[in-house]
Amino acid sequence: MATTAGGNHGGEQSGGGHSPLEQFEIKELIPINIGGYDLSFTNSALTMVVAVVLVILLMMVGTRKRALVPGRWQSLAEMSYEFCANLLRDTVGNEGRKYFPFIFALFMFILFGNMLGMVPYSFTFTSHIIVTFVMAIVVFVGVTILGFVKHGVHFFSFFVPPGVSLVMWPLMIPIEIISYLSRPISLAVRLFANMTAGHTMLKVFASFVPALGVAGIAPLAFATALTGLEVLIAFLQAYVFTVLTCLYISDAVHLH
Amino acid sequence: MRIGVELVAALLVGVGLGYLLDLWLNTLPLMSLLGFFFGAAAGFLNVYRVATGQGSAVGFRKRPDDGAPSDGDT
Repeated sequence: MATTAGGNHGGEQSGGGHSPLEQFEIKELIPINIGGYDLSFTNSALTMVVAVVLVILLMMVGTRKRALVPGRWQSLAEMSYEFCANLLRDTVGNEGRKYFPFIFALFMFILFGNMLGMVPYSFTFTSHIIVTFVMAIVVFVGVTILGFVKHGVHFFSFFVPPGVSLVMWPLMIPIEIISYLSRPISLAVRLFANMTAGHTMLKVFASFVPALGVAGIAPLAFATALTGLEVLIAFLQAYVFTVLTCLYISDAVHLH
Repeated sequence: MRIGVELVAALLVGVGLGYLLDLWLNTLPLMSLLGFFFGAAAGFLNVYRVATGQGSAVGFRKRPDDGAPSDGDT
């Protein structure tokens, strides 16, 4: 239950027992159990399916007419395409072209996930660290494999900073390896923390509104402004995740 | 947010790796401590790289064309 100021204003009694973290609760919609594993279709999975369907719908509607002068939907589809394409060209260069489908899919999926979370009473799947962590691990493992495929054993020179004397190697190499391994964690935690913190803060401020009565107009105004900020963060964090993925690909492609 | 995450993530990886090495080699406090210091160093290195605009690039090199793209420091 992501909440906006408006969504929460009417629904909640003052002092009602709603936790600000209740919105992140996973609910089973269709219980599925295969071989002892709980593979239930949850509200998280539902939001992911909705996000994917919306992206596909946007692209299909947008490319249906293929007009020379684009309409609204076509403009939207072209803008998102060009945004990702420019991002990839700026960070990786021309060699990055073949990774475009992955980058585009990643960006649209995270963006729609974050934006769907801004809809009142919906669910933000990027606010669960397991979701962001799996995405980060896929990026990390993929980039590492890419580096090995492109450069073979030479990939290990990645961990030796150029211009460092041989005496410093035993010190620098573990540091570089740890620095490299910390990438997926910082990637996952950044997205997760931003989404969780933002939505929790929004909910906390919204719960002040009924509690304060007439004076509740102040937190209401604040929550409204915060909703705008959250939309910005939702976009920004999708962008940051994608930019860092591009940077990692660039590192793996152009080894020093 | 960005800086803090970089610092903590590297520290976690350092201590985690050290602890796993400890479990494997039965040298309990040693590798964890070493990993703590290496992790802290890696964290500072990451922060240094973010701050000097080298993105998250491993290795001391500056890209010729740009610094790191602007990042969401929220």
